[in-house]
Amino acid sequence: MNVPLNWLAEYVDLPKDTKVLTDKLTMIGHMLDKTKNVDGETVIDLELRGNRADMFGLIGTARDVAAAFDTKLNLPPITPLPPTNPKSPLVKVEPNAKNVVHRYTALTLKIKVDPSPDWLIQRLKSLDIPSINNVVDITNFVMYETGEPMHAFDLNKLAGKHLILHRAKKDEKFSTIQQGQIVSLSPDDLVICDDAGPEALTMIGGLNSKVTSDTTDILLEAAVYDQANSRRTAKRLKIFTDSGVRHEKLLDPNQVEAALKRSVHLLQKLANAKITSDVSDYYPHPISPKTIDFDTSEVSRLTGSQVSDSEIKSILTRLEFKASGHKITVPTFRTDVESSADLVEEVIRIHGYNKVPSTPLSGQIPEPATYPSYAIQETIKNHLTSVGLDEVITLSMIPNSWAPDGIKLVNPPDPDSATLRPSLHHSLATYAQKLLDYNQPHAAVFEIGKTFQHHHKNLFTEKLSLGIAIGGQTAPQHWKTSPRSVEFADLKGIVDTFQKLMGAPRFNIEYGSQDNIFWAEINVDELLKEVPAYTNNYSIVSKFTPIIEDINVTLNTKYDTLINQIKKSSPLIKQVDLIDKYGDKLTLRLTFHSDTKQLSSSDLTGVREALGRLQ
Amino acid sequence: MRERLLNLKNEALAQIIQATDLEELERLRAHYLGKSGVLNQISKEFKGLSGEEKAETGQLFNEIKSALFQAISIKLKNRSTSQLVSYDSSLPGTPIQIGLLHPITATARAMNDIFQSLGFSVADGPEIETEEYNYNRLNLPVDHPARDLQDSLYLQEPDILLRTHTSSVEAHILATHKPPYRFVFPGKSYRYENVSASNHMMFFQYQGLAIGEGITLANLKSTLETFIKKFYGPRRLSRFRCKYYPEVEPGMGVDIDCPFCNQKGCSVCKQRGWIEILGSGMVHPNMLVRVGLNPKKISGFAWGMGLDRIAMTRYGINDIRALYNGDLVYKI
Repeated sequence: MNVPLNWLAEYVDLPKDTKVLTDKLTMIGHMLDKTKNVDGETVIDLELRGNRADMFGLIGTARDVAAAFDTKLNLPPITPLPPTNPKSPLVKVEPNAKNVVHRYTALTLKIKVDPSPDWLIQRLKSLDIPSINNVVDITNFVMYETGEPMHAFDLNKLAGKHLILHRAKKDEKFSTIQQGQIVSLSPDDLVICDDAGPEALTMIGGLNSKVTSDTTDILLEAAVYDQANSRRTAKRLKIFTDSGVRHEKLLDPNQVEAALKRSVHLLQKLANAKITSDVSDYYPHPISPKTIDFDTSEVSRLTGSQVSDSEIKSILTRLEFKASGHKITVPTFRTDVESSADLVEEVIRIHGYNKVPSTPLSGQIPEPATYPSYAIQETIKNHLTSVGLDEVITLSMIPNSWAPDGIKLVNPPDPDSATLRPSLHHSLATYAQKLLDYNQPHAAVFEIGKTFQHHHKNLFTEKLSLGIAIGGQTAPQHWKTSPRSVEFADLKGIVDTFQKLMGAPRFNIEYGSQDNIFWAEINVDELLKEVPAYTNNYSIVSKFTPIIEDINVTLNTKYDTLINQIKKSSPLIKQVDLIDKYGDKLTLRLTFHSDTKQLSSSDLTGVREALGRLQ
Repeated sequence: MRERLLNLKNEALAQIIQATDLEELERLRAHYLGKSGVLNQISKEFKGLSGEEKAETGQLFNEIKSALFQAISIKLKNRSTSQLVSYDSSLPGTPIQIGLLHPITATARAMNDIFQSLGFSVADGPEIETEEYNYNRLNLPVDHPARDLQDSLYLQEPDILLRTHTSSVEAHILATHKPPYRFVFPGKSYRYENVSASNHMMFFQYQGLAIGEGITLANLKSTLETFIKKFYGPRRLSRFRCKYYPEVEPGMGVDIDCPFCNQKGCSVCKQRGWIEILGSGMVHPNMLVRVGLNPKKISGFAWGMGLDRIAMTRYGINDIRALYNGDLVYKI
C-alpha cells in the first residue's frame, strides 16, 4: 500500500530519516517494497499483511508507527452523527442478502458540490487519485485515512430515494461509474438497488446515481460485507478498486461509524453540508471487543526471549489493547488478533525480532525417520547417474493426445496439456528426442516422479515411477572411441546393472521404443517392496583358479530359460557370459569355480555331458 | 582327442591365470605355444584321424591355440611398463559418460545434508490432495483467497486437487507422528499460473517442521542461521522480521543480504539490499489442537522456501521453464 509520508505525519510524529521509519516498519511486519517520489511527495510502498485490515487506513499505519517508536497518535477531528432510527426508510436488506451484509449504515445530507481545495487535491494526487469534486474526494480521502470504504449517491437520482440490498438476478445488467462499463451479474452478487434497479456493487458505484456538479443531496453510506462474496464478485467481473481491496479484508464493522463521523465533519467544512436524516443502521450482530486470557510467560515459552512484564504491558497498551490482570481486551479494529499466540507476536514484533536470541535446538534428538519412499529415490538417483544417465524433470501435465483416458484437470492453465501423465515414458522419449534434435550426439536420461491413475468417479491414485530413455550414439565422436547407434541392448545393460545395484533381480520392467529412442519404465512403489536393506557386492577372491570354457549353442528358447538350464546343470558354473551371437548361434563363456578345491578337467566330465545334451 | 585337447587347454589357462611374473609367462608360452611346444606335438597326431573328425579337431585346436595366445598376451600387457613417458598428456583422454542430477535434486541434497546433521529426517507425501489436507488443516480458512479456483488445479471439484504447496506434507506429518520429531520435505507443487520465464504451474518447495516440548522462535532462528551460513557461505548476513502466514503465529520472514550488490541496491533485490528467501514461524496453535496436541505444552516451528528459485540462483538459470522442458544443457 502506498503511504504518503506528509499525510501520515498528520497522525503521528515521524523520524527525520525515512530509512529509520521504513526499516522499523519492515521489521514489525510491513515490509518496504519501495520508496517513491510522487510529484514532490515521498511515498513509501509497503507490502501489507493480508490479515491487517486496519493497516489499509493511514490511521492504522500511524498507530503501528506510534507503538513502535513509543510516540503519540493524533486522531483527526470528527462530527457526531445524528441519532439512529431503527425505523429509518433509507435502507432495506432483503433476506437473501442478510448473510453477506454485516453492516450497512447511511444518512442523507444536503451539500454544495464544488472543486476540492488544493490540500485535498494534493493529498489524493500523492496516491495517484484524480480529483473529481469535493464530495467524491472526501469519501476517497476518508477511505484512505480510516481504511473503511464508503460511497455517496446522488439522492435525487435514486428512484424511491432509498436503497434495497439483495442478490442480483441472473444476467442482470449494471452500468458502473466508469462511463461505458456495463457488467452482467450473477445470483451470487450482492447489488445495492433503488426502485429502478442496481445502483452499486460492493466495490464500485453506478453511473446513474454518481455525484456530479448538479447534485444537491446525497445519501452517504459506509458498509462491511462478507469478504469472500465481495472477492468473488470482484474477480469474476474483473473490477479491481481500492474499495474492493478493502472489502476483501476482514473489516471491523465498528469502524463504519468512525468513517462516517469523519466524512460528515469534512463535508460540513468543505461542502457546506447539512444533515437531513437520522442514521439508518443495519447491524444485526454488533461486534464487541474480545478478551484473551494471557499468561505473559507464553512470550518466553514461544520465542525464547525474556521480555519483562512491564514492557509487555507497555507494548500492548501502545497498540490500544487493554490489560487487566491476565485478561487482555482486544480493540475491535484488530480483527486479526484471536489468541494468546497472536498477542505473543504483537509483543515480540514491537520488542524486536532482531532481539530474539539464536539458540540451537536442544532436548531429545528424534529418531532418524527418513521415509523409505524418499530414501529409495536418492538411492536410484545415485545408481543411475553412476551409469551415465542424467536426471531430468518433466511436467506432470502432458498433451491430451498422449493419454486420451488420463485424468483431466478441471481448470487447466493450458487446455491442450490438461492431462495428468499416467506414465513417464512418453515425456521422457520426447525429452530425449529433443536433446538429439539439439545436436547432442547422445541422449541418456531418467526421471523419478509421480504418475496418476483414474480408476472410477471418485478414485484417483498416484504412484512413484521411474523412467529411463536413451538414444543417439553410444559416445561422442572422439579419436579413441568408435561410436555406434544406441541399441536396445544398451538400455538392457543399464537396467541389468541397475537391478544388480539395487539387489533386486526380479521386478517388473516395461520396455518400449519411440522412433529411435528406447525406454524402460518401473513402478518404484513395487520396487520398494523388493529391495533389501543393503546389497552385498563384496567377497574375498577364491585362492583356486577358475576353469573357463567357451561353448556353442543354438538358441531355441528364451535366453534366460537356456541360461537357467545351464546353471542348473552344475553348481560349479559361477558365471555365463554371452560373448558372441550370430542369428540363433550363441557362443557362451562358462566360468567354473570352486571355493574349496582346485578344479581339474576330471571334475567337469559330468558337466560337459550334461551341457552336451543341451547343445 | 577332443577330451585331451580341452583338458590341455584348462590346464594351460589355469597356469597362465596364476602366473605372477613375466619370466614364468614366457616359460609357459614356450611350453605350450613354442615351436616344439605341447600343442605342436599334439597336432602331429591329427594325421591318423578320419576326415570329419580331423576337420572338427583342427577347428578346436585353432580355437585353443588362439585362446592361449590371447590369455598370455593380455597378461603380458597388464604387466608391461607404462607408455606415459612418451605420451603427450595434453591430448584429450577418452570421454567417460557419467550422469548428473537435476539442479533441483542437487540443491535439495545440499540442503538435506545440512538439516540432517541438525537432526532432521526427510519426508514426502501425495501430490493429489483433498481440501482437508491442503487447506483446512493448515489454518487456511474456507474463504482464504488461495482457495479460489484460479489458484488451485482441481481434478474434481470441489474437493480433489493437486497440492498447492508442500505444507500438505506438514499436515500429514502432524496427523501421523508423535512428537518430538524434525522433518524437512522437498517436493513438487502446482498452481494455476500462466507459464512464463518466471512463473510455472509446476514448482518446487522446500519445507521443514520441528515439533516437541520447549521449541521456540529462538531455536528456529538458530536452525535457519546455521542453514544460511552453511548453504550460502559464512559471510552471508541474515535478517529476521515479523511476517504473516496463516499456518504460523508468530510468523517470521527471513532475508539474506543481497549477494549481487552487497547491499548497495540493485535490480535483483529491488534496491532493498536484502533478498527474501523464506517464510517461517511457530506452528499455529489451531493446527496443534486439530491433531490433539496441547498447544500450552507442545510447540514447534515450520518454514518454507522456493526450492526451484534457490536452484535457479545457485546455477545461474534465468528461465524456470528450462528446468522441465529439455532446454537445459548438462555439462561436465
